[in-house]
Amino acid sequence: MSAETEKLLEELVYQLKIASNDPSVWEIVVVDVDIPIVVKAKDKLTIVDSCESGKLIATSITATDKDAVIEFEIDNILMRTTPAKLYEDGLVGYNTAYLWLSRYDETENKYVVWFTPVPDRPYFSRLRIEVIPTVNALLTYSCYRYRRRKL
Amino acid sequence: MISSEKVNELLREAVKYTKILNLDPEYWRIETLIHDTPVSIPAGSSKELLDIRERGKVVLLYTLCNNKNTLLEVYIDNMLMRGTPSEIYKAGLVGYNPTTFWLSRFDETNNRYVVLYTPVPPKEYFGRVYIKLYAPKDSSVTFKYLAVRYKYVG
Repeated sequence: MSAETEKLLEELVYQLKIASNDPSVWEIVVVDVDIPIVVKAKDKLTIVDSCESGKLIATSITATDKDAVIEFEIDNILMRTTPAKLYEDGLVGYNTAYLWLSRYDETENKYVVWFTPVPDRPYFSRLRIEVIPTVNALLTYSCYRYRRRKL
Repeated sequence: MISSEKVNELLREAVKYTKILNLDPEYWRIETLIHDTPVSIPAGSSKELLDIRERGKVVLLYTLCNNKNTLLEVYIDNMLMRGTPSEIYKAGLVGYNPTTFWLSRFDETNNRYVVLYTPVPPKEYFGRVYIKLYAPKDSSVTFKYLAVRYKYVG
């Protein structure tokens, strides 16, 4: 067998491992902060800022500020919104392509935003998720993603 | 017996198609079309949001308009989807679905109508995609939109 054939076979196996979520290629990275933290008005809370390759599985953000600015940068896509804007657009139930609210509670002052892409959303150069409250706010959050292991 | 050159050629093809399945950036680029500032269409007119001939995958289409009789037309290869917020509402498509248009908001008090198309898996196309909005004959429309797609760059 030639060296080129061997290299091509190795590349093919590697690509198939990528497609199969093989743990030799991917590791799951979890961020889960369930004890509320205080973020001051206009301060920035960074949930993830990664310049690696990966796949975003799910993110949730719970805030006590309905006008908190939530930013998702995934490679060259930027999604910027607030719980109030999502509510205005009626995004109050599950969807697989954009941010959505599982709770919008003005009485308890509790707003829960999710991003749950299906299939997992791949990124190759940048994943940045940030929250900037407009008032002092309590925040909890989680983010589940696959990170490509270095060869 | 198959030649080693032929084996390598087939392996190169296998690697290429596996990379295509993996959304490898060598073959795909994600593109966003966003119009956050409201645009108006006079009564009886139309506005093309997108008309492209390429290979790609539609991930998300979001439109917000102030007229429930605005006709939204999406053509993907030889599949045509058409509907107004009012018709989509009458069809009961008022929550998420992964196949066709759905409404996240149908608000006749505030004249706020949000139509989404969020196919799962992302809808592949190999020829032409266009997205067009038509204002009704008797009233104008103001709208915003967001479209996300993978564009094949291989």
